[in-house]
Amino acid sequence: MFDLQFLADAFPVILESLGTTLWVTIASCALAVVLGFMLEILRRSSRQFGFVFRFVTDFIRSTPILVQIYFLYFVLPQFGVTLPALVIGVFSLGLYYSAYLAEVFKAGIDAVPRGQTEAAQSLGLRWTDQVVRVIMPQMLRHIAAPMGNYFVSLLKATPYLAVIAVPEMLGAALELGSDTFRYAEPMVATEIIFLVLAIGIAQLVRVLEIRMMRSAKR
Amino acid sequence: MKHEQAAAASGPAVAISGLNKWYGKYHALRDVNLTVAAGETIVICGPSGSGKSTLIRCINGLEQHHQGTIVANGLTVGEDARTMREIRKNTGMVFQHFNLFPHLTALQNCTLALTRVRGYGRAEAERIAQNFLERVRMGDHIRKYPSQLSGGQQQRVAIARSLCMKPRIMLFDEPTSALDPEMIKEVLDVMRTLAQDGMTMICVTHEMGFAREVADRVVFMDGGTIVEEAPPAEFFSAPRHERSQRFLAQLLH
Repeated sequence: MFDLQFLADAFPVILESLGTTLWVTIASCALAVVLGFMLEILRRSSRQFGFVFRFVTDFIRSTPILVQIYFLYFVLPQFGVTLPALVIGVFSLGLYYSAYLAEVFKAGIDAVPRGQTEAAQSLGLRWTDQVVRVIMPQMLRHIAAPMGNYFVSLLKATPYLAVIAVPEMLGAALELGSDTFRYAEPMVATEIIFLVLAIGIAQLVRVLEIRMMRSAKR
Repeated sequence: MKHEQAAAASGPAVAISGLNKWYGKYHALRDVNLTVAAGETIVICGPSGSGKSTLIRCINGLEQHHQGTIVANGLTVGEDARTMREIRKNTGMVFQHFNLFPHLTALQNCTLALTRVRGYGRAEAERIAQNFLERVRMGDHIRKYPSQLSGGQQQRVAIARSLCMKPRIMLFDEPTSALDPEMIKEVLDVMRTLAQDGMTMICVTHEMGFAREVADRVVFMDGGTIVEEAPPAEFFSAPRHERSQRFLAQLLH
C-alpha cells in the first residue's frame, strides 16, 4: 500500500540532496553555455579546423549521455586523471549540453542580420566588441526560449549522475528505498520535487522572455 | 574650392590600382583604377551588378579583393588586421539598409564606437554624439530606438554614427535606395552639407540630381570596369561612351 505518511517523511530526506542537484545543474549550465558558445565560435571562425569542432559536437550529440558519463568516470583515471565524482558529473553534463547549446547559438547568431556585423566592423570595433556589444545582445532574444528548454532538460538529466554516486536527489531516493525496501514513496517524492523545479525554471524563462520581447518592441 | 584645401593634405585619400575581384568564376571587378583626392566628392553610378557596391566595400575591407592595391589615407587595405582596423576607424560607411543597432538608442548607436574604439569616457562620447545628431537634425530623437524612427531618420542617425568617428573618408552605399521618396531629400541634404564642408565622399547612388549638383566627378561602371569618369556637367551633357549614353537614356524614361 502507498503510505502517505512515508511519502511525507521521504521529502525531507531527499531534499537534503536538493542542494547538490541545484549546484550541479547551475554549474553544468554555466559550463555548457561557455563551452557551447566557444564550440560554435570555433566551428564558424576556423576555416581549417572548423570540421574538427563540428565533428566534436556531432559526436557528443550522437552518443548516449550515460555512456559518456561512465566513460569519463572509468576511463579518465586510467590516464592518471582522478577527479571527484561531482566534478566528473558537472563536466559530463556540461559537455553534453554544450553540444546542443552550440546549435542554439548557431541559430541565434544566424538570426542577426549580416549588416549588423558589417556596421560593427566598419566602425572599427574589435572582434570581441562586435560579438559582445552587437551580436550577443541581439541574439539573446532569439535564444532565450530554446536555451531555457535545455536548462530544464539538464536539470532532469542530473539523476544520471546517480550511477557514479554523485549524492543528488535520485541517489538519496534510491538509498532510502534500499534501506526501507519501499521504492514507491521515495520515487514519487523525487518526481514531485523535479516537477516543481522544472516548472519553476520554465516560468522564470518565460518571464524573462516576455520582458525581452517587450524591450525588443521599444 | 574645396580642392585647394584638399591639395594641402598629402597624397590622395584613396588610390585604387589594378583591382580585380572574383566571386567564384564571376569576375566582379576588372582592373579598376581610381584615385580620389582628399575633399573630393565622387559619385559612382551604373546598372545593378556593375560592381559599384563591391568596389566601395573593398575600400574598407568588407569585401576582399584578389589582385591590385587599395591605399586609403596612406594605409594599404588588406595588409593585416591591425591596419584594417586603423583604416576602418578613419573610414565611415553608410549602408542601404542603415544597419543601426536595434538594441541601442540613437545616442548609444553613436557612442558605442566612441567609447570602445576611440576610448572616450561616457560623458565626452555623449557630448560628441549629441553634437553630430543635432547636425543631422536628429537632436530631438536621441533617446529613441531605431524601430521608433522613420527610414530617413534612421539613415541620418547612421550618418551621424559614422561622423562621430571623425572619419577622413565617407563611403555611401546606395544610402537612399531603401527610402520612401519623401525621405530621400532629408538624407541628400545632409550629404550635400557634408560635401560642402569638404568631406571626402565616395557615393554609390542612383540620385542623378545629387550627382549633377554635388559631385566633383562621376564614375560610371559597367560589367566590373570603370567605363567613364568625368565631371558631372560633361558626363550628363556629353557622355563619351556608348554604354554611358544608354544608361543615361534609360534613366530619363
